[in-house]
Amino acid sequence: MSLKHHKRDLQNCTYCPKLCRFCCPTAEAEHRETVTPWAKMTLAEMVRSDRLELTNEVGEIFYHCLACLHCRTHCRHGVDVPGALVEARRKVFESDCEPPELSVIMGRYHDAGNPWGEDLRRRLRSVVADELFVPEARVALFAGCQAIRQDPNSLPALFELLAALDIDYVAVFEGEELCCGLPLWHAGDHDGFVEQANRVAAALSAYRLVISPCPACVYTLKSLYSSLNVSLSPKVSHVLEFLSEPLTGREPERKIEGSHVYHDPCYLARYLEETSLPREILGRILAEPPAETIWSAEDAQCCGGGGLVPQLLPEVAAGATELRLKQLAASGAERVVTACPGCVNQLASAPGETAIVDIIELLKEAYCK
Amino acid sequence: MSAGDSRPGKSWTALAGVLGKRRAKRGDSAAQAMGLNPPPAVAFFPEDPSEVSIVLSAARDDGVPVVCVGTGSRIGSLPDLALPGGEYVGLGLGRLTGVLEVQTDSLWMTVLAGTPWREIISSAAKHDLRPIGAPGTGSAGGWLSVCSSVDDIIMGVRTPPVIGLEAVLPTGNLIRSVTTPRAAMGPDLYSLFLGTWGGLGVITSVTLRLEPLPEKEAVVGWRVAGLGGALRLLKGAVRDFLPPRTGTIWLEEEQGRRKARLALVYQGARPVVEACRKYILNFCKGRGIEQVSEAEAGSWIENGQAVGGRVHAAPVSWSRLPGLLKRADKRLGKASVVMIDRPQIEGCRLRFVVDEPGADDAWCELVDPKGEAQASLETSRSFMNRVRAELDPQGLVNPHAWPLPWVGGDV
Amino acid sequence: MSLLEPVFSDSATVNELVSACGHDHVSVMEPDRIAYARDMWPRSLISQRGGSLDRPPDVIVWPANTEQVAKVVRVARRTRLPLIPFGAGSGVCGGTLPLRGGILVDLKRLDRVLKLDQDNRLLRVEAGIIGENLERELNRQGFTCGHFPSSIYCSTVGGWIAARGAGQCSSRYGKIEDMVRLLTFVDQAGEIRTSATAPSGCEPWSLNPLLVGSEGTLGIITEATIVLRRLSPDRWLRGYRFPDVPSGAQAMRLMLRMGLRPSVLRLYDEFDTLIARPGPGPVDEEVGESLLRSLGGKVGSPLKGLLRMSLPKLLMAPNILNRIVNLLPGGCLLIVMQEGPEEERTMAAEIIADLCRSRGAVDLGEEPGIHWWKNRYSISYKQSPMFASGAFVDTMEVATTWDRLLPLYRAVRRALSPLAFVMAHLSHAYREGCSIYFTFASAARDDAAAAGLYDRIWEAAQSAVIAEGATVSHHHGIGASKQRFLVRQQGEAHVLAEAVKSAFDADGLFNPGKLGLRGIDKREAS
Repeated sequence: MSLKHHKRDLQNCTYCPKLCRFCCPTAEAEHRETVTPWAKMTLAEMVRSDRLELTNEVGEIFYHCLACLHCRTHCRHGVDVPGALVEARRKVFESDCEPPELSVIMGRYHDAGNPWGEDLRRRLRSVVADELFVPEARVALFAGCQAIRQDPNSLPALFELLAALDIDYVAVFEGEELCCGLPLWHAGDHDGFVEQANRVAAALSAYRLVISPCPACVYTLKSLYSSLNVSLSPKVSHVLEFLSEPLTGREPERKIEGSHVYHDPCYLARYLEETSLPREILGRILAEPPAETIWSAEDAQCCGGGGLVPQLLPEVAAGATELRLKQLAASGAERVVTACPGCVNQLASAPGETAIVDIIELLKEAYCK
Repeated sequence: MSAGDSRPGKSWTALAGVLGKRRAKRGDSAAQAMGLNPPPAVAFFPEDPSEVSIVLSAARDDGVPVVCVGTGSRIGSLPDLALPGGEYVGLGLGRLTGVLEVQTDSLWMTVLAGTPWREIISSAAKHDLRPIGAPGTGSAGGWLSVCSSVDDIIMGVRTPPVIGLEAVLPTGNLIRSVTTPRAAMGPDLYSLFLGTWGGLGVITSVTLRLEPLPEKEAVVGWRVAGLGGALRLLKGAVRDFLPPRTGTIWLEEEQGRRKARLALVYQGARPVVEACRKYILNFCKGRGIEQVSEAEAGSWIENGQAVGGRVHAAPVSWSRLPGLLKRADKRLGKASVVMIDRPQIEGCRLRFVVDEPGADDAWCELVDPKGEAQASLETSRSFMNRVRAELDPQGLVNPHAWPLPWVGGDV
Repeated sequence: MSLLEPVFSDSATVNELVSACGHDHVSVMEPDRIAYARDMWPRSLISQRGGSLDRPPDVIVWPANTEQVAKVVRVARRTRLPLIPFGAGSGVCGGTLPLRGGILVDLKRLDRVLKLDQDNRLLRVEAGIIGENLERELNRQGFTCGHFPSSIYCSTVGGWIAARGAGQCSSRYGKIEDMVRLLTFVDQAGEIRTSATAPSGCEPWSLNPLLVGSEGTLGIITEATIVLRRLSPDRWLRGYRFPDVPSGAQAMRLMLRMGLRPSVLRLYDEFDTLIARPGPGPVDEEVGESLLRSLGGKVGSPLKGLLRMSLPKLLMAPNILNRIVNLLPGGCLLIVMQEGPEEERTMAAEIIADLCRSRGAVDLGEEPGIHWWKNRYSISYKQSPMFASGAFVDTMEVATTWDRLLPLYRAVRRALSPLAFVMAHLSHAYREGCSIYFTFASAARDDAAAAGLYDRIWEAAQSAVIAEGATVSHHHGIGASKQRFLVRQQGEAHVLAEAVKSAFDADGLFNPGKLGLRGIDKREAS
């Protein structure tokens, strides 16, 4: 794939009157035309057609995208803006004009296999009981670097829930590769991503089923790998999809009191097109049905946590987070519940009165004796 | 050269020759014809807009002030009428009369500015039409020069009475707008002639909006125990359904408490009026208010038109009105008449009739305690003055009307 | 592609702007200058497709509030730099093109809802908020501003006001000038002013009529107070097929004459009906395919061959294409939408049905109306494939009174038919008249020829409009594209326009080169 494979999309955006700009979280956070999907794609098209030199200044713009895919929800052309921008970033990366901060992040990734340069294996071991690391297991939990680093409490909570549901055959995956590679993809390091994908695919090959609490990991393993001809043998599911059958017909020990509003993670709602299952589950375990914001389901605004933006452009991410929190707070709910460790962390990182909770923790609260 | 320094001279004689004796007067006959004191040195009575242009061009060339009079019904109401000190030219627009065109399908008619309203109304009536919000007295151009409002509320919003205008600028340019219900062609330049007392130019013809003579009229009235209930009803009538032609509340003191009478007048096509009546009666059900007969409500409207005494009026938002009324009662004393009319989405007009000395200033303070309206008015005035300075650096056209007066009373 | 260097080379001005707005909110970077170099004017699209870029601004600033806007204006005044206020750049007339360089002032950081006064149904809002985002917030609280331009996703409140825009429901709720009560603006001296008080009663001296539609040439609008409506409990939607445009127009006129206030009345002419009707065609379906599908078996092979040609080739034979439209199954679609309480909807539905029947219309039921409602903003998606294929498309919205409507429609079609494929619909209807919204498409052998053809099309069309006594614009505004026609139509009134400009902007700094008004020429200044 290269930019020329996105020519139709690039041209559709160039000549479009910016119809999707209202829902772009970076455009709204920065208030800047240059980072609307229209402008980013126009610049990419100008680079593709050699009408504009790819300088550091130009290249940096391509990183102002959370990859939330909200633009496509409204785009009648079905344009894949994040996909095109990844190719633009690939060109940036290969031209060595990436933003300096990105080089630092890539350095960390190459050292430690994650964007923070931290020892995530040790972190994983510290939150999950030893007996859950069973190399011979056929079903594995691929936690993903976001869950391990940003939302570690959700992992033991998940296993308590599984135990309450008499599911004892899920082990924790603890291979060399704890990251699916998505940060490399967003960085524009195409070759690096393919290498990582092959390593992860090899490491997971022994499993029949891989589940993950992170929708981004699920999408990457399920769809992104195969689009690049990286073959992954196990089936991949989000934990909610995995839990849907055991939870069916099972009454919770208790209903959870208080008012809640559900935040749809971008990767779950738009990439994996799953908006109803989390709501059904919440409907069963909450005393009061969850509230909705004016931006929900496939139209949910991004939490600000995607596309490497929190690492590269923390103020932009914070701006998007603030906007989303305002929308969620306007529902009047006491707690925000979501189904993505990245969203939990990003929403919780911003100042605000509303508490943020992972749906796994609510499930644990509802089903554990 | 400033206003009053020059005098009409030879050029005016020539101009009088061009316009003809019938349309030019001097001396006593000018004084008599214009009805102004001191009288103009010469007076012209154009019968065509191009003649207005000729006069204003000549006045500019000679540096001579020009004072325009339509029917003269409002000129006397200017608080400090200051006609030019030296010699000046009078421009009587009373002969600029005539209905130029009536479009019955498009509901507009073009009339020359001096055409009296009675003639406009009777001309429209021949086609079963009437101009919207016609005041009944004065001329079309004169009315628009002093007041831009009209009682036409479409969906609770005031709409301007004209869809086309022709005027002569102080430069002498004769300009005409496109006749259109609406346009987006930059700033609405022709709004500059509405309510500016001829200081930015002389209106020479007007394209008025018309409406069909109503097929049906329904007058609905209620007695309401308190102001709050009456306001709720009036708001409901104008906001969420087809609004009434007029909506009026009269407030009267009865045993120390304010009681309200409310009347709505619906006019228009039969099925629409019937639906409006049905809607408003349903709206009132269960609100504990006493409906009166149509005849009684009609008599309220008829008897309530003329308001004697010193009227203090102001537009006010719905939420501010009760508080303003309370403070007015306290500060200005008992009003002989309190009326609420011209309802819109966001507010209405309060009319408070009281003759106490100092009431004018007190009323202004009550209505505009923070001076915000005054600040906006000063902003408007300052920009209007600058526009005038561009068009008429010597301030020759209608100098008596500038600077624009603050009209604190009824308009 | 080379871009002009900033005309001012010293950094002192940039430093002053940084002091005004903050370091992160001032930019001279190339990507920003490119992004802000154009709006959605199709002429600019043709140029860009041909490889050239319109003149970009020298610097872009993002003030956070009215006070910072005022500081920027004072800097511009001291340095005699043009100022171009910018909302979201959705205009189709080149209104925000920095023709003489200067400081482009992006107002989108001013995007707060300041006060929603439920009791008085007034909204005080900053000018830089995107329309759809405002509308959603209002809906959450049970209100609407009633303003639904097809650019609602990509335009700002300030832009609506500056361009004197209209939404699709203007027949009920009015145009933007009917909704505005008070404006806060920054004047030429960098002073913050308010235009009027709200509610407006008898206010002959409000500056609103001058500021609304001023397109950034008189000052920078930073806040507005507008009236609100309650969200309608429901809506009634219907479609009617009229035998022709005159019968449909008459029905529209009579509905409004009776005093009805439908939210939407849209009458599509024969080809626009083809585009508007629900059908199996995708959004990207080409003009030729749409025609073929509709004509069915009525066309012989040579014509089929023509319609299967590439879009640009097809559009280079506009006369043939325009004549083919006459072969289309007859009928003009009228879409009606009525909102309000149930009593009003019921009454209006009955009256409208009777009126349409009496004028020879066939009741198509609610489906065409529902289809229109669901797709009312999607017509703009047809633009990209047209330009990408080498053709171009543009729209022209004009208005006149009912008595002149059909002559206007015919005159413009006659003027355009040799040059472009043209279709139209009537909308934004009033008791006195209506707007006609023309869409035209054409193509030329290359982009230089396309630009020339584009200019000839506009000259022909607007000359016809002026000759018929109609307005050169109803709601898109003037910008750069129509200013020569505006000046022509103004005639001697241009003296008044310049007087107003001088009163508000003696130095000519605000959006120079627009509305045919004089303005500072940067080259002269430096």
